[in-house]
Amino acid sequence: MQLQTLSSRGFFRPAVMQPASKDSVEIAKAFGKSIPALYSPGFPHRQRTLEPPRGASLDERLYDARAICKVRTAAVAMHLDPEWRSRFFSQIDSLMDAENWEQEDAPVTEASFTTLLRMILLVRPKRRPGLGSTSTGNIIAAWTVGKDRLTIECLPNDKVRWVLSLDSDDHREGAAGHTSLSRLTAVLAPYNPERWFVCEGG
Amino acid sequence: MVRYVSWNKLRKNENDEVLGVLGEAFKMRDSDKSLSVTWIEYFHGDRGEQIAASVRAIRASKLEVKPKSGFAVGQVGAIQNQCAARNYKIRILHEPEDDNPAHAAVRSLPRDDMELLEDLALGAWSDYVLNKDIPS
Repeated sequence: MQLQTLSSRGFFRPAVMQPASKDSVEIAKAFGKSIPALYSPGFPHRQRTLEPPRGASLDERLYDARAICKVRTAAVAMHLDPEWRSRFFSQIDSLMDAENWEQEDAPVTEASFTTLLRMILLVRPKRRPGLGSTSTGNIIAAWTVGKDRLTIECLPNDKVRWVLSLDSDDHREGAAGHTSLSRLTAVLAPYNPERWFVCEGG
Repeated sequence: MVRYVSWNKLRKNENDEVLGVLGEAFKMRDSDKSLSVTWIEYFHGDRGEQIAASVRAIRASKLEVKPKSGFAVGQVGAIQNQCAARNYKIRILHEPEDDNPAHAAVRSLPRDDMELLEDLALGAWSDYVLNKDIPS
């Protein structure tokens, strides 16, 4: 099945423009004018409902989910380093590889992936996260540096659940929370998140 | 105890190298009444042999073990202590099943305490082996 056939077989519903939420407006401000497309209230919150055909096989559902993630990413490709994006696509393919996917788990949802993408554009991590997902289709971004770990579960509508663990000489410090993307950088700031986002030597 | 961990619940770096397990690996689905594990000490041998025997028991069960999956390995006492430190009293019971005589169930594990599940992934249940590393 080719990517171009997705819309032709009714995969995408017509785009429905939604009014920007309060969070979306705050996030757009945080992005600054470098990403004008994100000022548009319809982007990337433009609603395309993932509706695989009834009776779609697991392979088809995973293919569709991977395609949606790549289409979404491609829409903001100009803001991502080409190599970064290429490797990110490989991670998406690997995460949702049919041979290694559990039948009971939902493929990554468009709504969750959109939150991940917006988080990446907001945080601009030099180091890509490791990717995982929940049984319900939320994508998980994980950064690990030694024993210092940051894990962010991306929920629909710009919400995230985060948990981190820092290892110092004599003790371990942990923290967790549930917040909106617009607050994420402020919430993580006390923990020096650059330790995870900046590549070694970068 | 050994817990099967699917590929999407393994902790990886940006190059897809496995670094451990995500806390999500210990999260029960809504339909689950307990967390399924395999009791290592059911099998004889040294620890390595017991882990390998546990993995083979899981492979022989109805569970379809995927090539890139892994198995989190933890000690009962340490897991109970880590839960108790956060005021959870869990129970771990040997509940043999027809397809896995070493099957055990972890009961009363909270479903949605992300910090506890991360603690387990980083502490008492942080050891792991990859499926590809255990010969059939």
